[in-house]
Amino acid sequence: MLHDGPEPVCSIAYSPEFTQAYDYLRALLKVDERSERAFNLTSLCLQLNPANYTVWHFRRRCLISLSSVSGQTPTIDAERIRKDLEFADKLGGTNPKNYQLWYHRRALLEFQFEVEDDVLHVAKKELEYVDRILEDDSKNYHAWSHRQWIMKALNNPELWSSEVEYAHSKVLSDPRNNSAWNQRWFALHEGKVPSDYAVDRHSAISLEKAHEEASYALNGADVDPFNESPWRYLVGILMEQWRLAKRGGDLGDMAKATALIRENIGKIREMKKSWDEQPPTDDHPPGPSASLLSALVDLLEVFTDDKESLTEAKALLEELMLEDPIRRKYWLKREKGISKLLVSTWQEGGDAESSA
Amino acid sequence: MSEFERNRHIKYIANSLLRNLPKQYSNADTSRLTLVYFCVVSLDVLGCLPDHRHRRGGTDDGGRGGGRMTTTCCGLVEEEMLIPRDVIVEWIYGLAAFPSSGGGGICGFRGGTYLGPIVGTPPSSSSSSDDDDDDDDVVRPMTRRSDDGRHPYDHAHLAMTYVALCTLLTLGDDLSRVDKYGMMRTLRLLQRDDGSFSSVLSMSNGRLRRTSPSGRGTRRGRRRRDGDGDEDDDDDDDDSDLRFVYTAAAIRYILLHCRDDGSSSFKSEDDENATIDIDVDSAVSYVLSCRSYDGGLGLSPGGEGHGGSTFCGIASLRLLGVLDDVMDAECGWREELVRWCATRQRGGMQGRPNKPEDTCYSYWIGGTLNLLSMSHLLDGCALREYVLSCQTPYGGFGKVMGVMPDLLHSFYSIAWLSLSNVGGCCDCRHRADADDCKGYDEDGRREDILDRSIGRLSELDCALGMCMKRVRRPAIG
Repeated sequence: MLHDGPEPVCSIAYSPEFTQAYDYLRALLKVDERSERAFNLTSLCLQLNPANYTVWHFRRRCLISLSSVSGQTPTIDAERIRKDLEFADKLGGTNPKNYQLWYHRRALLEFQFEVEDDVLHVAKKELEYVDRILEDDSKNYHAWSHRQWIMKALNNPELWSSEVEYAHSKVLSDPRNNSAWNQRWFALHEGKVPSDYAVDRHSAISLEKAHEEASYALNGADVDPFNESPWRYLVGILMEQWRLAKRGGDLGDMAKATALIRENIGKIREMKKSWDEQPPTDDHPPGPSASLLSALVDLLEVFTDDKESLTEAKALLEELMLEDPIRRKYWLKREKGISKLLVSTWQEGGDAESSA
Repeated sequence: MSEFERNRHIKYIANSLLRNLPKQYSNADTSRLTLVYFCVVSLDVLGCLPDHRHRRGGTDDGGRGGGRMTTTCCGLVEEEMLIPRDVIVEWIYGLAAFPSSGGGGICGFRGGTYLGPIVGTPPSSSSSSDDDDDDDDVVRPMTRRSDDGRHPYDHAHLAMTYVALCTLLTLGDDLSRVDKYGMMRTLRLLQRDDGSFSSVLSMSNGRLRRTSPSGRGTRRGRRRRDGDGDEDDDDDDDDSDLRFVYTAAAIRYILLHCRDDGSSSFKSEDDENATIDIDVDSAVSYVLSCRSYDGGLGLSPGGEGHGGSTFCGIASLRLLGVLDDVMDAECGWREELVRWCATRQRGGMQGRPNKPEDTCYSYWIGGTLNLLSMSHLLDGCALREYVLSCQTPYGGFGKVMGVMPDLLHSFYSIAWLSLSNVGGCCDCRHRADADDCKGYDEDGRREDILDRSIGRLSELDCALGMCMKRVRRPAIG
């Protein structure tokens, strides 16, 4: 049994089974017995507490020791890997939400990538497993992280493009699944992050692709303008092009990025107008979408030297203060910022003093 | 608006700390220290750990702990819930893994007694003979083993080390028994090439580290190799992500603030002119690589923006002393981040777009805004109301309304209520039911009862996750 000293704190009323199993485990850990019976005991201990990272670690070491192949590099028999992936699957149930379970899969797969010839096949099978989990909880953060790890590990062009399609299918089944939108971004950028494309422009997406993605996002937003996800995806895509052009300093690129953003501002204005004119329904609550207004403001604000854009943004912020009252103080701060800019640049157009 | 049930919370938390937790907590077996941290810091925020200590006369435990120091709570808790601070301090030191310096020992704290019993105190402290007598039947603990004889699975954990240090400081310990040099060296060993940190490093006989399938570049950044120990004999068989950048940054901050000699750096033992530290620049790069297109931070590069990881990243930057510089250098990020955080409010806070509210995000996201001096932009009254609505009849807070309380959500709820007192984020004077909340203070002045009860909470150091008053703040270089 556990000896915590005479006055333990936060002691847990473990079940007798729990205490017994872990007593045995401690004895085996102490002598580092990596036997078949030790391995079987870890199964029981993990059923009792799947979050014990030491037991998972010990289990992996047992797997290595019990494997028939031995050599310089530690390895695990393919059959044992397969069985253990199944074990982890059963243990997690339909909605596994603990770090250790997912890490175990990853550690096993790293071994599997070593021993199997057809790595792509292994990866695809694992992606199918993750899909099953996402069927049950489409926003499971661990599951999406695991997918991302597989994608990065393989870095295979076929997988990158099929992942864009996968993300699309998840967006279709629930357009409000922000994880799916994020996965689309991740797959299109082939796992690259902005600090990568600061070094290599070509790891960001092209201007042509950005046009397509903006349309994709707008289509999604048109289905449900109250859905924040496509709006932020849209702003992300457009701002990426804007920043790339700005950093490159090429006037032609700047003009193209400007045109891209202007074109989308136009489309959003139209969408706002048509929604404003529609009578409220069950699916469409009265009032404009704060997500739409917020995205439109962000894009208009890009043009800090254009009085008309800023004036329009200011009016939209006033609308947001009314329509999105929980963020009234936030929108007021944004509105004051624009008013100040308008006054300092054009000596007019704002009531910064009065509202300050 | 609901009342703030301070007394109930104190009872719930003190009970959890000093009595048995239900078996549902069995999954926290490896991180019991985290539960202790939640309890102790919550009680400190609630004002139950007065600075004033006095010796309790005549103990009721047969004199075993005779003459040990205890403290009283501040009036509102029954006698039986006295918080025996020194006992808790000793229990935590019993989880320490401080191998003698030199060699490749990993220095820190374990998360609980799941690897073996606690006996007495760690080698660096004077041990009590009483304890030794009492525990003759107990197997010798791993803490007593010599460095080279350590059990290969018995290791400290980065996150547990962080909560241990915070809890010890909160309990009034000065960390003089902590091997600070060894701990700083450990942080450096745990840092990977990409700037992130591994959480564990166990001393195994054979390496688990795999190579990547050729040309596919699989494995995430490897641990740093600077010829500084027995890397060949250890392995880092666990995740590395923003959670551990945060805990490393917090440990470093505490170590630098608690130097025994008051200096603000650790001189290398091998070279007097060199200092031992983590690679701050690469840690910052790692945080930046987790930025999502919508302004939040994912748990690892490419991940969806998430309240927990966003807090970890921003608090790391603050603790590393670079938050303002990074925000100034990363043009436009501050604005995107503030927008992302503000947009998470539904009343309570959600952790990601299109997800339901959850009390813990009050702290993760409200705290991120607090670190950016922007928490006044939230609707503080609505958030307070949501958090208070998740109080349970048993004391404590649930994740959402109407569920059982748990220690994590209780701690983060109380922590947010403390933060809500600062930065003008909770000016509720204009709320509709303001008049119903008025009472009279001692001098007969009308005042808001709720504001008063929450206003009495101790102020939290948001980045560090413990009370401001417990953090020594010498000038740091």
